[in-house]
Amino acid sequence: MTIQSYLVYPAEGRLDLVAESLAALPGCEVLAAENSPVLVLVTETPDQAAQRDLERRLESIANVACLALVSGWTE
Amino acid sequence: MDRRSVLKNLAISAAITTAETLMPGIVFAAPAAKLPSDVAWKKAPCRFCGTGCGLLIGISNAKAVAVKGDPSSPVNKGLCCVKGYHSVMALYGEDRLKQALVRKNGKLTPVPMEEALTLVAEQLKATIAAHGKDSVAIYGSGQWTIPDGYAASKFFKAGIGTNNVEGNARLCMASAVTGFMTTFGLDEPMGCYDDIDHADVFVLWGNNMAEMHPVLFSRMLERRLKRPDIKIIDLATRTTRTSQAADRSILFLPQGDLAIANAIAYELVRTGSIHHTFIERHVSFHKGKTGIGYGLEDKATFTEQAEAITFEQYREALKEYAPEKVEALTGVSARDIQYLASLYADPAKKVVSFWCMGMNQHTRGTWIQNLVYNLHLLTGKISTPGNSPFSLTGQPSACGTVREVGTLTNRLPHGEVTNEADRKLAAKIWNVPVEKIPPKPTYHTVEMFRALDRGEIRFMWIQVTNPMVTMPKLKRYRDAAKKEGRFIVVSDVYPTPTTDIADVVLPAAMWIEREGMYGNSERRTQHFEHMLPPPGDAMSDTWQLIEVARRAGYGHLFPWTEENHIEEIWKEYGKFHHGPEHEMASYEELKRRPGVQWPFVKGQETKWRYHAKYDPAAKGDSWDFYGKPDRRAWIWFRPYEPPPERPDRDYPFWLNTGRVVEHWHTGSMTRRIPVLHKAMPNAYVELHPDDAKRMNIRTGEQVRLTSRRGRLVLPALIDVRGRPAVGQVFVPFFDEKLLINELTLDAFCPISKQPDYKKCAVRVEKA
Repeated sequence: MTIQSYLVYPAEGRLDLVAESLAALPGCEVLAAENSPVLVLVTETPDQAAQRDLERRLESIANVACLALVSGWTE
Repeated sequence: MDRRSVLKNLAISAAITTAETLMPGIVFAAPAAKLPSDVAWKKAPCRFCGTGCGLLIGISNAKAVAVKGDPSSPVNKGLCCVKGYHSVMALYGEDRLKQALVRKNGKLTPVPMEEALTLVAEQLKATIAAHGKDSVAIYGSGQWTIPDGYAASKFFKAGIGTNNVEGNARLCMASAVTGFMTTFGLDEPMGCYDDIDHADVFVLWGNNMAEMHPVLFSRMLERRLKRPDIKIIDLATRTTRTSQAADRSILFLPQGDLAIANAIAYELVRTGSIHHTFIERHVSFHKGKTGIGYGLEDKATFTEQAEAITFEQYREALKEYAPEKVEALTGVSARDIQYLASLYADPAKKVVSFWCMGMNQHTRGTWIQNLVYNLHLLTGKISTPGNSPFSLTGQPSACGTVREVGTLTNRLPHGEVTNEADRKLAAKIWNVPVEKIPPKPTYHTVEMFRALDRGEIRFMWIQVTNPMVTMPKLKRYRDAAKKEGRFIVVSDVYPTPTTDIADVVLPAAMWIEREGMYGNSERRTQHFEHMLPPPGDAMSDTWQLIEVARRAGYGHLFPWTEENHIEEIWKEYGKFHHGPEHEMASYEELKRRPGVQWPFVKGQETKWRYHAKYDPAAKGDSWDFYGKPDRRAWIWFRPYEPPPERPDRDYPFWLNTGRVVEHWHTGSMTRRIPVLHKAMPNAYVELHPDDAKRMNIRTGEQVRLTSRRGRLVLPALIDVRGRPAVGQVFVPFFDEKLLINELTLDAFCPISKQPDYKKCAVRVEKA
């Protein structure tokens, strides 16, 4: 199991689109700030293969200006 | 709440707290819903590094479920570094030590805690009976809480009657102590972190703050963001993340700092930039012994002889250090030295000098501290807001425990064992005959392990530290610990190379699994309560000491219960520091506040010492350096002297060792936090790209380092994290599988006895 959290900075005007795209990925939860165009993304994957797959899918999401890993745990 | 939920909440909390730090005022509606409704937030200082950041720990159902920076802490104002945000995860590694272990037939075997404690006490008594009281020793650290260190010192110095007490702060900041003592007569900085908010210039002397003290570095960058005219100067032997953020990066040759500081002083005097009135009233000039050696021989001794000199003699001595004359020695151009001097000289600019291991781990560590103090004393830039020579600390309570409690062979909770008045005060408070406390120091850390090798020490109890990773010239001391007739007890939270050589392993309660106090770099004492039950049989280091002391016949020294012993220790310890020079806050006050800076007099913290405007102990209406009998700070003339080992034909590279932002010291805790381990999974050797190209070495390829002590093969890293100068290599020491201290040299500053981990000679080959 791997649990990670990220700060996500969408491209200008693309907050809702990015939030929807991220939330649609398996094992992803999105928390939106109320007063700033920033998202917290929390991911949970069962094993390393799933984690690698998710990381690839995250990198391919359009309109993400910056995806910054903050915290993570693997066991 | 299950483990998965705990980890998820920690991850969310870390992300939100980071966002709150980066974007003050940002609001997330969701987090409250994500945390259990019964989360209680409790304050604690971070247990990684000496900055002393205030944390708020979210506790639910006897688990730490979240952590965030404490906005009410004046240290970090809500910010944390990557280690702080992950700090509570270090509690939950899979291989936490939960049971006592005793070596039976060569194998560490689980036993009940009671059995292990009794065995330790019996072995202690038997060793004393067979070999004398100086054959037993305790070796702790700057990660000891204040009560841990106090109990250890009282047990060994007042109970057993031996000064065989040391802490790994000897490897970390002993030179800072002797620097303070020789210049000011009292230990610890005169200033505080608030200096960052007032200074115009920051000169970092061999100090990679971006990685080692990231929160303070952030405060400095924030200051510059508001005031673009502010200058940050990185004066170092290696290009680091700090250099990249600095306004100027000036590289110097190893050991060249001694000559640079003297050359700056020369320039200050030559250009008439010194503060004449301050010098006349508040400074005296001295010189000491020269050619003082490096402590490489067993039982090496040194006694300083201070000699008063005049300002004219001092000025004459500086003439050897004209900037043009020292260019070859320092690798720094005369122009750059003159630039540095101009920063110290400008009467309109307030200057902070920061340093840590670069100046402390130095065979002339005491001297270089004296020389940097000289620059502030020549210009009167000291003990006022924004003017501060500031020695940063490596460990969370190196100041609070090792320096203030005095868990060193030569120290007592107040003063020195060699001082009769200090011994009498200790004997009175400890209620033992003064004759019980020996008047002579025994072994400093390196010599203590040498004594273990020689067989003079037969029993050693190691708490909260990992010397089988951190000792220089490691093989000698590892072999010593394994010798027949040695008995090693190790108290720790995880298995380490040090538990590997133990005869008994005692599982320790970690950080917030017990009550305690730490003291940080700026004289701030911080209390944390017992928030969580320790796992299995784990027990606090303080209580382990008390349990063994009772079994060994010293129970009368510890007449407290498990419930009240921390409070009672604090009250007893406070008696050592009564008075305006070092008055400590009450137990109740400590519990209430996010740390209190001493001297704490009439409800007021002291932010700047030695100036009557801020310091209740200072007399007159301005500076008063009351630590010295002449009430003056001492400017020392100290010359350049070369290091004991320099690159030559056989070993042509300098080796420098140090830390990385992801890991706390030997990595025994942070390497068990997966994200930190993943970010920095193993040690490496950094080379300059020109050297790497010449030897056809690329990042990731194996490189063999060889010194006169040992060899190590590890992967190369080129221009990824830092860049050493040509002819130098850098290796971090956090990796227990790649022990760089197999190669380092156990030379030390003869005054502080602190080893130099920054300079020895190695051969570099593609493996």
